[in-house]
Amino acid sequence: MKKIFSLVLAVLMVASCAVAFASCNGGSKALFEKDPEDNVIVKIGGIGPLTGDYASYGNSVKNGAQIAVDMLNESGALKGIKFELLFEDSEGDGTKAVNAFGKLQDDGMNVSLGGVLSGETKNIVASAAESGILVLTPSASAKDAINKDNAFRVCFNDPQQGLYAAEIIKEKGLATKIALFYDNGNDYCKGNADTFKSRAAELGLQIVTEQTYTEGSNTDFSTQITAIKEAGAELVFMPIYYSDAAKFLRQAVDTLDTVFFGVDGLDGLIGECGTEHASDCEDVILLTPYFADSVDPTVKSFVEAYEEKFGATPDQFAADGYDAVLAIAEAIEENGFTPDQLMEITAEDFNKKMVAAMTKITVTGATGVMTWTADGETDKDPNVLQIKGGEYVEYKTADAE
Amino acid sequence: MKKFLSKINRRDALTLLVLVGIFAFFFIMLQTGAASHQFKNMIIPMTYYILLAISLNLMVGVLGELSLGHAGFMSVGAYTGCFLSVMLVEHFPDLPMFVYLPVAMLCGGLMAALFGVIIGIPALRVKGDYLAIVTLAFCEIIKTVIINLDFLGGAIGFDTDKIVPDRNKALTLLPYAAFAVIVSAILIMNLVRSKHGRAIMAVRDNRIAAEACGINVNFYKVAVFGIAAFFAGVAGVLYGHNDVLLKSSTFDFNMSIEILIMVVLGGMGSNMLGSVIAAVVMTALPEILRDFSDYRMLIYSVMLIVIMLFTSAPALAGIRERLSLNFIKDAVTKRIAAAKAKKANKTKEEQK
Amino acid sequence: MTLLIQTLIQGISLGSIYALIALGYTMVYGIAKMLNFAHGDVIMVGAYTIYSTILLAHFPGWLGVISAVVFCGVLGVVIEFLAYKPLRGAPSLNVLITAIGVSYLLQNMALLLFGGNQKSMLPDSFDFPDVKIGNTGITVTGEVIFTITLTVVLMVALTLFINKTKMGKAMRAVSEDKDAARLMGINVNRTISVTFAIGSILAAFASLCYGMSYAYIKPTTGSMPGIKAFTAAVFGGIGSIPGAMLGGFVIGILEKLSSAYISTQFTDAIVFGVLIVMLVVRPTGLLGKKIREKV
Repeated sequence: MKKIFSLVLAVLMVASCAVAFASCNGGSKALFEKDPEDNVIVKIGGIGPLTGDYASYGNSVKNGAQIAVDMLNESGALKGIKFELLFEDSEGDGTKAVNAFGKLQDDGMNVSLGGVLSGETKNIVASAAESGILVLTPSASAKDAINKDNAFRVCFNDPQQGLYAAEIIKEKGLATKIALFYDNGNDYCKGNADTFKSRAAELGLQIVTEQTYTEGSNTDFSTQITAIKEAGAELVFMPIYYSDAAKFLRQAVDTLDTVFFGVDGLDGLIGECGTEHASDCEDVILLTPYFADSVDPTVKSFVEAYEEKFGATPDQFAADGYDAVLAIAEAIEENGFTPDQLMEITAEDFNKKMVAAMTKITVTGATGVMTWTADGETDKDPNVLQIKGGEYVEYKTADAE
Repeated sequence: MKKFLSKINRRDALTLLVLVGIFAFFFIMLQTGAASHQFKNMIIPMTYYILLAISLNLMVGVLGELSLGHAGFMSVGAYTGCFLSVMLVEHFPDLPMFVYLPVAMLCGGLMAALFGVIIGIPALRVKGDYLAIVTLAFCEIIKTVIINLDFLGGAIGFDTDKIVPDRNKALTLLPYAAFAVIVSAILIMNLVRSKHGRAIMAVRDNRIAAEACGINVNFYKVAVFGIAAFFAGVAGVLYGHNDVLLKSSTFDFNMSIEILIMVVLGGMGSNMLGSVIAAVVMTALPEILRDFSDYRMLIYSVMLIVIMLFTSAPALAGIRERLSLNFIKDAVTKRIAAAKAKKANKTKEEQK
Repeated sequence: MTLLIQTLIQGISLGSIYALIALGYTMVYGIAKMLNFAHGDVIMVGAYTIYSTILLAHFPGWLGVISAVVFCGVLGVVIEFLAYKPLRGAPSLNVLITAIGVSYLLQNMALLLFGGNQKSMLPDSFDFPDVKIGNTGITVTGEVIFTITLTVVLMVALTLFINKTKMGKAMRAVSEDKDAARLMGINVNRTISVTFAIGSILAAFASLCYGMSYAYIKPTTGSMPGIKAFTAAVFGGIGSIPGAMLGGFVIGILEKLSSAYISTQFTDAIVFGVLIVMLVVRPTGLLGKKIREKV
C-alpha cells in the first residue's frame, strides 16, 4: 500500500517538475504580445489574498483594478495599447506571494501591482529588485514595505496617517483625553497607532488608555469597552479596518458616548453597517483620501462602473487598485511609448523608463490628485469626513456650523 | 559490507539518493537558468518543508506522539537565527555568509531544541490527543509572546531583508539548504537505525514493555522532542533567510497542520522517503493548481480528501493491491521463497 | 466588583458558545474516536444558512433558525457518510487529515458562494432588550441572557436524551465498546450518524448565539471558535459530555477574566498556559476518564 502510494507521489512529483520545465521559454521573445486586433497588450500583475482571512481586501483590489483596465481599454486612451490584468492569490502569506510573483513573471507580466498587504508586498519588492520591474502597490502601507528604488505605493503610509490624525484632533479641538483602540497583531494598525502616540504626546494630547485585541479575539470587545469607559476617554482613536470597526461599534455604541475617530481603513464602514445597523456608525469621523459618496467626477464614474459590474460599493482597497492601474497607464503615456516602440523595447529599458516616469506624473484618481516622490511615497490630501445619516460628509466643527 | 546492505540500510540509502537527486536537479535547473520564476521561488520552501516533514515524522511516526505545534519550534528557530544573522551583519559587515548562516542555523536549532525539551517534559505525563493540545497551546503562546516583543518587530514583523542579497537568492541559499537537509536526514536516519532508534520505537509500540526492558522512557521522549525541535528550528532559520520579513502570525496552527499533512500523506514511521516526497509534492501542489484561479483551494481540499480516502480506506485495500506494481511484488515474493528454500536446504543438509 | 460581575457574565456567555461547540467535538470523539476538525466550520455553515434564509430570501426569523438546524444536521450526517465512514478502521491520524480537508472544503465553498466580505448575519429584529440589575450599574445584554438560557436548555435536553432514551443508551454503549455494542444488536453505523447529527445541530444553535453576540460572519468565522472549543473539550476531558460543558465555561470565563484584569494582548497565552499546567496536573482533563494501564 505504501509502495503504490509513494509511486503515485513520485509520478506526481516528476509531473510537477515537468510542468515547471515546460513553463520556461527562451529569453529571445519580445517583451509584449499582440492581441488579434494588433493592439499591444500590457500585462499588469496583481497579487493579494483571494482566499483566507483577508480575502475581502484582495478581491476589492482585484475588482477595482479590473474596472480601471476595462475603462482604459474601452476608451482607447492609449492608441494601439491595451491592458490585461493578471491576478494571483497569496493567501496573505509572504512566501506564497513570492511564488505568485514568479508565476506572474512566467506569464509575461510587464508591470507589477505588488501585493495588497504590507508583509507580502515587502517580499514581492525584494523579489522584484532583481529585474527592476515597476512595482506600484495599491494598499501596502507599512513604512518599509517599498524599500527599493523600483517600488511605489498609492495609499498613504501608516506613519503619515497617524501624524495627520493627531494633528487634526489637536487642531479641531476634538478631545484631550484619548483612548487608543487597535489590533495589536496587525502591522497597519500598529504602525498607525505608534506614530499617533508619539505625535499626540508632542501635541499635548493625553492618551488615557490603550486597548488592543488580536486577530483571534476580534469578536468580543466587551472588556476593552469597559476599560475605555472607566478611563473616561472623550475620543476613541481606532486605526483599524472597517470590518473590525463595525463589530466594535456594534458592541460599543450602547456603552460609550465618545467621539470615534479612524483613518482610511474605516472607509466602507457605512456599507458594512448596512441598513441593519446604520445607527452604529453615525457621527464617526474618519480621515481618508477616498470616499464613495464623493461628488468628484472621477470618483463618481468609478463608483458607478464598479457597482454595475460587481453589485457592491467599492471600498478604499478597490479605489487604490483602480488608481494604481490609472497611474501605470499615465506612466506609459508620459514615456510616449508607441505600439511599435513597445514591440522593440527590452525589458530592462522598459522597466527603467517606467520607474523614471513615476516621479514625473500627476494622476487624478479616485483617491485624489497624486504625485510621487523618489522614495515611492505619494503626495495627496486626506479628507476629514463624518458619517451623517448614512452618508459621508465633510467634517465641520460645531462652531463652524 | 553485509551489514550495510541490510534492508533498512538500503532503504535509507535510497532516501539519501532521492534527496541528492532532488538537490542536483534543483541546482542544475537554477544554474542553467532553465527553471521558471515560479519554480525558482519554490525551491527553498521545498527544502525547508522537507526538513520540517522528516523532523515531524521523527516525532509523530517514530516516537508516536502527535504534535500540532511544529510551527512553534520553527518560529523559535527562525527568530533566533535571523536575529543573530542581523546582529552579525550589522556589526561585522564584511562577514561572509558561509560564516554567519551556519552559525545562525546552529543557534536557531539549539534554541528550538531547548524549547522542544521544555515541551517534552509535559509529554511525560500527558499523552495522545491531550499532548496534541499541549503542543498546539505552546505554539499559540509563542505566537502571542513574539507579537508583543518589540525588539523582534512585534506585529510589524522582523526585517530580514539585509542578511541575504536579493540577486539569485535561491542559488545563494541552495547549497546551505541542501547541506542542512542532507546532514539532518543522515543524522535522523542514523538515529532511527541505531540502538536508540529501536528504543524509541519500542516506547511507541509498548511503553510499559519498553520500560520493563530497562529503556529510560522519559529520557527518550524528551530527547526526541528536543531533536525534532532542533531540525524544525534549522528549517525556520532557512525560512527566515529566504523571506525578507518574519511575522509570528505565519507560524500558526495552519502551518503545523500543513506539515502534519505531509507526514501523514508520506506515510508515518521509520521510512523518511515518503515524508521527503510528500513535502515536495504538497509544496508544489497549490502552485500547480494556480491555473484554476478561483477554484484553486476548492480543488486542493477535494484532492486532499480523495487522496486520504484512496490511500487509507480499508474498503479500498483490494483496489490498492491490484494497482500496485505486480512485478515488484513478484520479485519480493520470489526472493522470500528463494531464501526460505535455501534455509530449508541448509537445515536439511545439517540434519544429514 | 461591578467590573468583576460584568466580566463573569460575559465570560459565561462566551463560554456557552464554546460549550455548545465543544459538545460536538466531545460526542464525536467519544463515539467515533476521531477529532472532527471540520466541526468549527459547521458553525460557519449554520451562520450562512441563517443569513441566507433571513436576509437574502426574507423568510421569517424562526424559519431561518429551523433551516440552519436541519441543514447542519443533514450536513453532519453527509460529511460522516462521505468522508469519515469509509475510513473507519484506518489510523486515526489519517481521519484527522481528512477532517482538515473537509474543513478547507467548507471554507472555500462558502468563499465561492458568498465572497470574502464579512456579512451582517441577523437583522436588527433579533436584538433583545438589555436588562439592568437594580441600581448596581450592571447591565446584561439581551443576547447574553438568550445565549445562556438557550445553552442551559440544550444541555438539559441533551443530558435527558443521553440518559433516558434508547438511542442515548445506544450511544453510551457504542462509546464504551463498539464491538460489544454491535453484539448486543445495536446498529453502530446509525448511532454514529445520529451523533454527528446532534453535534452539528448544537453547532447550528451555537452559530445563532455567535451571530447575535458578534453580528458579523465570514468564511473563516468558524476556525478560531472551533480551536477554542476543541481546547475546551480537551480541558474538560475529551469524550466526557459534562466535561465539555464545564471546559467551555472555564475557558470562556478565563479568557474574559484575563483580558479584563491582566492583559488583552496576552489573553490567548494565558488561557493556553493555564491549559498546559492543568493538563500536566490532570493528564486526562478535568472530568476525563483515568485510563488504567494494564500490564
